[in-house]
Amino acid sequence: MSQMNEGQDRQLDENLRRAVRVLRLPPEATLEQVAGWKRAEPSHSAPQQRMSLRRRVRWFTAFVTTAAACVALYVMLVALPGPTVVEASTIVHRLRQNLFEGFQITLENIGNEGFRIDGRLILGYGVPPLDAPPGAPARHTESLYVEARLRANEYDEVQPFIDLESAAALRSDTQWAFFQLRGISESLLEKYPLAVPLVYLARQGILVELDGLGHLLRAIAERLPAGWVGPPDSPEPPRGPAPPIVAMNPQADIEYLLGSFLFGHADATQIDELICLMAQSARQVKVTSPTPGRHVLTARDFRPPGVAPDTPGAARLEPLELEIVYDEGVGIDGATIRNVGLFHGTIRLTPMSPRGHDELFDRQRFLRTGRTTVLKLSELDGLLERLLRDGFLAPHGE
Amino acid sequence: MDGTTVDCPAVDPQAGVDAEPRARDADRMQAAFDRCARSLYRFVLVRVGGDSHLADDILQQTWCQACQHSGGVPPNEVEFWLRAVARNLIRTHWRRLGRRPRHAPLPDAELAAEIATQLTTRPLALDYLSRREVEQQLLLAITELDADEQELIVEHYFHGCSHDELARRRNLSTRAVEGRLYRARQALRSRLNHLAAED
Repeated sequence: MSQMNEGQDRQLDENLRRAVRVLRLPPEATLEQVAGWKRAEPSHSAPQQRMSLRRRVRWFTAFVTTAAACVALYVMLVALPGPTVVEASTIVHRLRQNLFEGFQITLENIGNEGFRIDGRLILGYGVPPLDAPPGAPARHTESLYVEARLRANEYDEVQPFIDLESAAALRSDTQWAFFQLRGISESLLEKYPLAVPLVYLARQGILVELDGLGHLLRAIAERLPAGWVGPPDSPEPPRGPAPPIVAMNPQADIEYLLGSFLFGHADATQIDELICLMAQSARQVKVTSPTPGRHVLTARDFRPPGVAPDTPGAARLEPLELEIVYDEGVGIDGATIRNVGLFHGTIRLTPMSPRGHDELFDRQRFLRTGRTTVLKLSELDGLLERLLRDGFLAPHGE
Repeated sequence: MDGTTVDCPAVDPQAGVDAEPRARDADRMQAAFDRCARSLYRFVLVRVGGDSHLADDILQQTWCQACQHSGGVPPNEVEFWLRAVARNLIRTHWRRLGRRPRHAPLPDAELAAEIATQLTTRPLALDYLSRREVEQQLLLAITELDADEQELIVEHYFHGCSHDELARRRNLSTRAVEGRLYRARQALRSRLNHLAAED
């Protein structure tokens, strides 16, 4: 390798200082992550020295004795009928109770041929104050945090590719949303050349302060052509728990509930209903106890009652697997739905209260001096208006 | 990522037959893994297009491979070996999937060499540096650096640590840090010049 002279090194140093203003270094690995990697067990044991016959006999005896003891414990604690036997209904019932304070929904690899989403949503409930008027709801949404990464047309050679990362927090003391464009097709930029400056800003990150969110939504609704949303003066959507689902079309119910999950407006009641509905629709529901005190409800082979196997969409439900883990004396560990969508993704529901997780609601971590654009909601409103008016979002040639 | 087979760099499975050397090898591998975990994560995350779940998966498997082959890797090649394992696992994953997502960057030897020349010869405009392909080649090259060099570049340029601060953290003289930074920049230019095709 040829040595650099002093001038070349100084130029490289200067250019690197400039480059880091636009380079996006991937996030650092946390200590928990590193510990998580090291918890993995090797698939094959490491090469070991061959044991002598005498040692092998001793190990075999010890192994058989331990296995026999485990079988005896299993029979005494779990398999025999008695108060320790946990039924599926008990587990589902406990999950409802544990979701009272709040919950987290984690989405991993959820998508179909058009998009893929990874992210999580944390919803926290508050209890009404002591002087709340009679008839006030038993609990209300106190905080909401969402983060997601959406990749559109990732494997599509024809449709434009978009990779968007976003996060949003809504709590009485802080309301913001952050967007960052991680990737976009060059073809899309060629089609909308006037949108390039906006894309440049989005690639650096845009943080929107969401004070006055309701006003903006109304303003946008007024400007959109009829048919996109309801009439401009339509009242706000009704608050409170969703009406109970009448089991007329279980498949539609599940799709509706999954849709509520994905778009972030499912409440705890709907989540309960989803789990119950899934448990009712599964043809294989069993409770196993891998260790004493731990019970795992597993539901497989989903086909909602009354839905024929050849019904469109039924094939998507069949591979789903629902698992709820229940620890005696501790409660529900969480519910997991596996094999969702094309990428065999996972939806995980965990009881969790956002209280004590203030770092999630802190927007500072997204602010990078000289790079992140911070907009007030009114400014975003103005910007969108200008873009629409000046035809920035019109395709090239129109 | 279950059940994948990877063509790891050659190791001697019979090496370290006695218990004591085996434990020593495992400790050495663990220490090396801990030392370069951060740089290895960056290496993988950049190459899988920022998919953190996949990166976690790859590193978990890298760790498993490291546990299995700790005895057969020469001490001065552990970091290189871990990087090669991770690279092979990524390659195997794309093969198994049948296609590589478009946002996962690939080295472009010609462009990388051009960037290396430009970086040392003239001031570069932000527009040029923020081009996606330029950014990708730079990140590929930075994450190819050895853990020590990579940490120096990251702390100095990305986190804004001064020479004095870097010296204090490493218990070195400021002059020694300046020398190491010079070598790290030289290594970065070299990596850009020799960014080999990975697929």
